[in-house]
Amino acid sequence: MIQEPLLQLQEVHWHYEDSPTPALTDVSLCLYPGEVVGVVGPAAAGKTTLLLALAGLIPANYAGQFAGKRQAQGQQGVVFQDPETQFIGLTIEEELAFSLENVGCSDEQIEQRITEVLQLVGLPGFADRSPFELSGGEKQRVAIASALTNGPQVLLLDEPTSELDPLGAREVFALLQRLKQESQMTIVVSSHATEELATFCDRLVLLAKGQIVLNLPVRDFFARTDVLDQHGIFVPDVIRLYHLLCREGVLAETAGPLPLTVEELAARYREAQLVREGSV
Amino acid sequence: MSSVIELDDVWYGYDREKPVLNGVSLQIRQGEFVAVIGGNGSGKTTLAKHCNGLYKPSKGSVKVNGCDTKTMSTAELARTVAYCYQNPDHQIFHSTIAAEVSFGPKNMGWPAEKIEQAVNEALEAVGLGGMGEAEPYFSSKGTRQKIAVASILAMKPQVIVLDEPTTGLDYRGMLEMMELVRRLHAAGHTIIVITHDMRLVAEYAERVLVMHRGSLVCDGDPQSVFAAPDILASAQVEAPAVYRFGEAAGMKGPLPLTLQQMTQKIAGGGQWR
Repeated sequence: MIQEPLLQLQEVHWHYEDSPTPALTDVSLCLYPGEVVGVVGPAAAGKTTLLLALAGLIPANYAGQFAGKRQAQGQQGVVFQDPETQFIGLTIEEELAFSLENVGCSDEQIEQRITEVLQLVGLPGFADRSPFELSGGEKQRVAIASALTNGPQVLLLDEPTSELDPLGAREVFALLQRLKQESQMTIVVSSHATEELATFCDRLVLLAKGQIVLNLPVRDFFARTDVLDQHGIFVPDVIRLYHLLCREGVLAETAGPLPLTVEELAARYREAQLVREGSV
Repeated sequence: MSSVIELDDVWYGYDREKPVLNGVSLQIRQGEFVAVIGGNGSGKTTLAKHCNGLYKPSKGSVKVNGCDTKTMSTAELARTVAYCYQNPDHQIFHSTIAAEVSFGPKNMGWPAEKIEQAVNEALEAVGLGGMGEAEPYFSSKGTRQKIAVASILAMKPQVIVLDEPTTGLDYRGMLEMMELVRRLHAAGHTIIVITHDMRLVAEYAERVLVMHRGSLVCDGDPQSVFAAPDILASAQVEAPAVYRFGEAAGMKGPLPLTLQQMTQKIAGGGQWR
């Protein structure tokens, strides 16, 4: 059975008012239930705009010209690059209660939901603390909690780790990994951290100058190093190393799928070694 | 090589009960490229801020070119050791790039011609030549990072401390920034980079200082640090992918740290198989 997309953009064009060039050109993208999609692209490629369009915030909240179609089922939660820009409460409880109050939840429902989402993001007992006193990784986890309060079907994250140090970034990706496994939620995340995306996403989209250049399952995506190089996208060392070993005849490309982690590459290498020893 | 920065049993604490640095001693020699790594709260930024007198030790001494930082003002020290913040927006405050970059030299009381020349040279060095009249806030993060570097470079410091210089940059921005740092090093500046990025350490650093709970727990070349799993765990980092593959594949001899080294080793054949 072919699944219905949860969220869909069809031939979307978007031109910000006062901008000399369009931000999105002929962008079509379908998001299916439970899949995790990464969006990569050089600075100013239109990644943020694409996420705003997926969230429906473009054209609703921005001035400009929109063409094309957006179809969505259920709700979307959005997390921005800098969590502080989205904090409005003085305590985490106030922060998380905001959207629940707006949909008319009772005090008991609000309290219960806040406890649930804080548990989900690994910050139980944080309700009375100020969001501004936390570490970068914790702040971003609060921002994710706040996007989750209304139980969205799709979670959209715009470069959620680019303002964080690598430890904070690791914390956020570990949480996203857990959400992927436990909640079956559809997740879209834009990032420059291709090493993390390679092990986390089912599918990746390369955006350049407002257009989708690649939209492929993760291993097919990273097989296109030529296109990624051309657009200045970092190809993880494991993948470069794999291509190097294939070129040198140490590994055979036909022997299996593209390895994405050091462990996968080392396993392929050991297999090849066994074959070599067996044939001697 | 003479030592430009010398820490002797340096203790420092924001809170007397919980010192952030517990007796750190080390010497940094002229022309070195040093990476400082460590987990959050390990004291690496506090250590770096002692190098230019932003912090002065509670106990022990820090000497810059042989002079105790306690006897010098931060302004005097800034001429020798410049500190570049992680977030360029914490440091940029002028409305044009040229005004931003000339702020340091003006405060050093240089004559106008010398300032103009220093600003032009600094902008040229970071690849922003001719951009002096542009507004810093409308430029990309990578460009703002370069403006921050230019503004310290204009003071012609002997030592440049960079706190996480590549955070938030895309890959091209990261490469450009690190190539700039490499050029500054080649031009004779001593470089101290605080980083969590082990690819960057493998690619650029000659020496690695590992901080853990306020102590210097390792001081060696990248090879020796990557070969010490306990040290890496204390710094909450992993060796770069190329090195980990070398280990997992059972390569012999010193393990390559970078793809370039790995390419040479594989193309050279022989011992590694």
